[in-house]
Amino acid sequence: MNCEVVRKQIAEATVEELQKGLDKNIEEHLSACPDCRAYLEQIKNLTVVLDTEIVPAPKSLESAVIGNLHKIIPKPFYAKRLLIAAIIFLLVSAIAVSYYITYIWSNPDLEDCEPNGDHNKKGSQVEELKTPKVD
Amino acid sequence: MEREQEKIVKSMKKDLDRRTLDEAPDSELLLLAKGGKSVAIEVLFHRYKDKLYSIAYGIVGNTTDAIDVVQDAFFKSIKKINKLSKEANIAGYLYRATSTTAIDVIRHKTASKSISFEDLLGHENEIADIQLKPDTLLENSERASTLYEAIAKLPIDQRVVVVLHHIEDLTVDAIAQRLNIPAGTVKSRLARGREALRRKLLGKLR
Repeated sequence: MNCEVVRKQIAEATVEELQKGLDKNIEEHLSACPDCRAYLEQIKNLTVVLDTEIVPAPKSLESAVIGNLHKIIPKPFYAKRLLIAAIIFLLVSAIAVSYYITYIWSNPDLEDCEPNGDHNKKGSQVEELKTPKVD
Repeated sequence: MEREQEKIVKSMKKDLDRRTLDEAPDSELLLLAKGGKSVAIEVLFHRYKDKLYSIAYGIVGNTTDAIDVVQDAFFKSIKKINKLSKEANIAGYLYRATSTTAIDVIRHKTASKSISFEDLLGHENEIADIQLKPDTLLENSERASTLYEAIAKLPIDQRVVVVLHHIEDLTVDAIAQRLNIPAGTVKSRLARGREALRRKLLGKLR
């Protein structure tokens, strides 16, 4: 194995491979070649620097994001449930109102009915009125 | 599942402030962010802003575009945060959104200049000499900016792979899948990128 092949494999090695150790043939070559050992060290140093160095974000980024955060705050996950409950409530209310309009409000005879047990009485009176008396 | 999340959020103190949340784990911040707590989103941003900026800067290679990329990617991610499961890796989610947005910016720029992205990927740009102090090691504060200047001068194909592997911590296979290229191509681009950086920087970056 010559130096060119060894260096190509070192350069292509992933971070994990560099940490765990390279192929046996490469290790053998490295033990006998100080130049390639130095190359491996350089690549290892470079990967350490690449893995650890980060550029601090500029202040302008922070103000741009934090300043506009209120525009994109997500609706809480329970908002969906509240919305569904409101829709159901409105539907039930609409059905109740339409029922009232169709069957009660449009029938003036039924409007006379009074709550508290008088319903039967009044109802029977209505029936009496509707039924023609037979002498 | 939502009921469980709701219980956890309710069990947390109502008077949450930055100081309380600074040490909170990501999973807790994610739940609060899903519940619409802006302070949790702020803490997430402060926790990852440097890394997100580094990914964006590494790929687009200039401050103005990098700021736009991070802002755009962060906002898009937060808008869709309710779609994440409670076990989701929020850091990985933000990193991916940032690198994807940055790559889109490069694609868009190359398209507007009538150069295909693929042509640009294959093009070997000469790395401009970076002004380094002769024969001296750089201070920590200078080190990062010098390194990222060097990355920004790499050809785009190498730059993207180096950033995804070393800064976003993606494996070679994951990069291959993301860029829709063979793993061998990822490895060779990584090797060329590292070699170029080694030649320019290594003596100064120990």
